[in-house]
Amino acid sequence: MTFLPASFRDPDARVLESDGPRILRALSPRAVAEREAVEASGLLGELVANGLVVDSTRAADVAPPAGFAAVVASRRLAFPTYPYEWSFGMLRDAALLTLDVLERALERGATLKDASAYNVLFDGARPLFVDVASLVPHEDGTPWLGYGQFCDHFLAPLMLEAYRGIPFQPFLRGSLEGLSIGGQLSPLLGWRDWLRPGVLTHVKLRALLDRRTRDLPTEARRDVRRASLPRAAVLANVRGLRRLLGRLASRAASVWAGYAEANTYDDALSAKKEAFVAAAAARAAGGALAWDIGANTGRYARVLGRRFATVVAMDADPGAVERLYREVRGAPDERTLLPLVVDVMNPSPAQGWRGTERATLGARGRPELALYLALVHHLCLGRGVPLDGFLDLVRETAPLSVVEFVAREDPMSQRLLATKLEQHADYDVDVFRSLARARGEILTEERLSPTRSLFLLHLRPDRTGA
Amino acid sequence: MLVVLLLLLSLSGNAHAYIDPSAGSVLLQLLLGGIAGLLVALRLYWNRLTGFLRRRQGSAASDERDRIR
Repeated sequence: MTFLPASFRDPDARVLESDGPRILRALSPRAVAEREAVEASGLLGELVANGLVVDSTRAADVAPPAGFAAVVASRRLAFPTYPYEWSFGMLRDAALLTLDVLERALERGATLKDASAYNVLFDGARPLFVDVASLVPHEDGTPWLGYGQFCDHFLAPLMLEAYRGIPFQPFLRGSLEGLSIGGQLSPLLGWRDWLRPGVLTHVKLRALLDRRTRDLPTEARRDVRRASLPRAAVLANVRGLRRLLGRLASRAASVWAGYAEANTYDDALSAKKEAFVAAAAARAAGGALAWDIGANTGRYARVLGRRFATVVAMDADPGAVERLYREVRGAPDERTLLPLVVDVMNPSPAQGWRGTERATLGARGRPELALYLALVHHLCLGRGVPLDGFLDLVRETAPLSVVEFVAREDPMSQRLLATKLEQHADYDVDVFRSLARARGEILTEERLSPTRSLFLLHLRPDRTGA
Repeated sequence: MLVVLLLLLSLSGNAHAYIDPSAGSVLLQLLLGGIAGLLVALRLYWNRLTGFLRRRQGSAASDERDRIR
């Protein structure tokens, strides 16, 4: 078996290439010894039983690669996601989970050797710590070596949104190492931010120390590396960070979060739409994965949730995703619904080392059904996407699709066109029908209002490659 | 302040980690470690200082101690 090209950062635990229901991790002799110690303390079992860490067992049927001593298997989550696709509350909950795991670990003589936000995935709307090899025995006196990474991956982006009102997602997408405290966050926070929680210590003082230690001689660096901090002090720091996170709230403005109250639908129309979506879901064969693209309040994603094991509810507006996340968290559909910040005009790319560390959105799971409700006019009239381009997206995303076509006469379309010179003359429901038929079948069509129609499409994947 | 911090640094086990914790982030933790950390560091520093003085006072015994260290 070969290693996943993306899995190299921790040389003691590398993920193996496999596409089954299991994630396989090869552990070095050192990692095996560390895991055994963490298991023997009862910590691993406690973390798994409390739903904080993914369950993992020795995979006796897989031979460890040369230089490795064992392979452990954990279940593959339905849809892996990245911090730059999470809303504020999702990133904060992932941060709190990391601190939870760390605190319980420290109490039992273990620690986390890193604090990457990529160690957390979402199982539906619940964060789950998946990098089981991060848990290692703690040598008393060692400070938390993941603290700096925790700040860059979690604290800095959360502070950016809480204190500056700037959504963090584009920043995290641009830098897989997180937002640097000294280089990126500190310059954005001025004098009047100094009194805000955590700024003086975790940002300003840290930036100063980073500056002052930049030219530290190697010998002094080694001394710093051997610095000693009692475990009680490490724990106090962790609890301080937790209190700080609890005080951060997003200040970013949202376009869509109030949309359900302000939009032009009435309840009868929404009920019709729900029935159409439910009927479409009943036609999907497997029932594993569905996407709602432009999910907004998640009303129709919830309808899909009755039929599918996992529904990824995507929206470009972090505010709308945050609202849905808060509604779903702790609710019965928590295990099914996965809210996600995705701009369909610019979906997550393949990136990182050799473009392999982080996968494109589509490479992480192909849905059986995709919803595009009241989205086409935003893309075609608002953003200038040609109708045939839209249908190519629909065709390559899922075999079954529900599209709500919003005519140019609709008040929402008119609003989009009001300020534009280009009026997109080819944007028309008849053109839409013929373009859809050229790519497959229109299974059902239902008129919702004089300006809106629902289509259930069964489109063939493009085999010509054109 | 940095000089003080560096002076306060004392020795402990060398934990392995594949990530690079910046010197600043470690120093900040020491600072945030607050009084508990400070006291421990001071005590260790005090031991070093008294050890140094004792070495200067002692004669043959200091060689013995140095070998043990």
